[in-house]
Amino acid sequence: MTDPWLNIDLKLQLKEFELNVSQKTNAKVLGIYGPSGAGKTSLLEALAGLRRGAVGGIEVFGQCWLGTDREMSPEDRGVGYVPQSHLLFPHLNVRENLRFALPRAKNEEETYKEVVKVLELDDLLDRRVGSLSGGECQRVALGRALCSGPKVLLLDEPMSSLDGDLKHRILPFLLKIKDQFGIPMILVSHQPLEVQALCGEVIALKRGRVLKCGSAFEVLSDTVVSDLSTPFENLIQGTVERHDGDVTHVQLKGCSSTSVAGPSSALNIGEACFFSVPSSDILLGIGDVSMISARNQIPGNVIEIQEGGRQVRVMMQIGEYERPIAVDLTLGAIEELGIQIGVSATLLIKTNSFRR
Amino acid sequence: MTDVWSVIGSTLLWALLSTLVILIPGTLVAYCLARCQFVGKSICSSLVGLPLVLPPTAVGYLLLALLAKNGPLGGALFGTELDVLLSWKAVVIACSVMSFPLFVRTARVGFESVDSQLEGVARTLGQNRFDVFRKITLPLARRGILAAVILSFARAIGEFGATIIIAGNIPGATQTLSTALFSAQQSGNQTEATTLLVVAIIVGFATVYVAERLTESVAGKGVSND
Repeated sequence: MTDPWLNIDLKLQLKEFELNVSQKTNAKVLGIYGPSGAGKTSLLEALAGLRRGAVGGIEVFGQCWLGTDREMSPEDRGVGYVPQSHLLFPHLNVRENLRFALPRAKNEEETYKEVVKVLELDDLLDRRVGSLSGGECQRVALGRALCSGPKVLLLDEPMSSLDGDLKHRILPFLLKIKDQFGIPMILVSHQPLEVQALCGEVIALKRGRVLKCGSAFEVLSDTVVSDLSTPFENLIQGTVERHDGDVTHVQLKGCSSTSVAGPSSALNIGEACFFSVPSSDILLGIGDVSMISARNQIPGNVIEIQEGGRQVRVMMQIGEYERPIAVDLTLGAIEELGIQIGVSATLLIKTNSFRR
Repeated sequence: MTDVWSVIGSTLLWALLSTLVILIPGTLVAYCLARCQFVGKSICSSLVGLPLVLPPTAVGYLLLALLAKNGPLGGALFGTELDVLLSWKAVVIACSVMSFPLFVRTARVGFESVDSQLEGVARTLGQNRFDVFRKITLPLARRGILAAVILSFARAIGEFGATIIIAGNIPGATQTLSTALFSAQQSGNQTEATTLLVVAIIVGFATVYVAERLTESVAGKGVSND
């Protein structure tokens, strides 16, 4: 186990509550998950050095950013901060926005070229930022942060202002950044999909307090974080296997023998693809379920059962897929079908239940 | 008869000089009032705005007391005898003092219209405070600052009360558009008074019009983040 690169023990008085976070991590991407008003953005701003009044300690790669007798200024911390509203400089075009951040990078021209290439910004360079779409703004804001040669990337709800299709297009860029630049990230989000797709470790915040910390699935599926009355958004991650009329077949990540039929996608074969499916939209079948209209009939095993009154959440493992799939059932259904840990069952999912 | 065009020329030159004199200190004071939090900020802001509400003659009297031979600023300053009173330098000082609050107030609105989060992001990208001011704040507040320059220039052209007290109304030496108009009216020279009045209206209208347009831009697209 490597040493943690981030060590926070932070207190910050906000208007309605005190933000109090104590956390160490060595995860490549740390997620900060929670509802609006939980203190997520305040925590990220404190890490960036943009919040006054933070007390305690922040240590990143052994360097003290905040201590009892010192506070490092934002320009010396070496963060690449991507705020929720992009905050591109309106008087500069895209090229100038990117170049603004370059002086801190080690190899300015090399960094610039790589960022433009990875984020596919070539066609946007001469555009005014006012003429960019939401997705383009997000890519430019990411590019600008990367151009500064950051030690850590701080991303505040990178997909919140984007609609479904654009989200689908930004997520692969974030994964590319994660894989190609190798820069640790702290991602603030209230969207389970991006947290599951990106984060190795997640802390759930509520009114400034850490509710739970662990892997994305552990945190998001915990009933303390989200009660069973709210469906869990299962992430279906894989690569496009083939297109078949109005259906796109996606091979599940790490699970070569299983593919799912999702809604038609414009992505090319072999490209990374993401769907989500709510736990309330999945059925479980025991025994022979071949004569049924749902196009996805995926075998799995029950690995965990969470009970909350009349509502029950069943965790299903599908082959070698990297995360379990949550399915919501009633207590009556559980008893009638005899579902218990270790039982084999078939997940039944309609193509239209997948969301992009 | 006063050489009308010479008076207009000198007035424009002195107004320009006074605007240049207050440009940098006015911009810095406006920025501090817009962005910095410090003890006594309200008092400081009120003091800066004082010449706007005091009678100009009161400001003139205060300047006279300060710049007189036996006043705190009237003797040798930095080893130099300034000999300011009743000279063109007194006109520039009076115009600067009277237009300073207008400059600060207008430029402050320009700075306040710049989203401070942009400055924060710029700092996280490795730029220090001064570079952020130079590369982000100043360009984004430029319309407000330009409006401040134009309004101060216009105010300096129309300055009368403080000027006449510390610079007098000496034809060919310290006479300005407004003091010349006053003299022409007092001596019953209707033609000269009318000419000066028309020039004053044209210059005043043009400057206020341009300043209005710039201020509209600050309130509208100038502050947009798109």
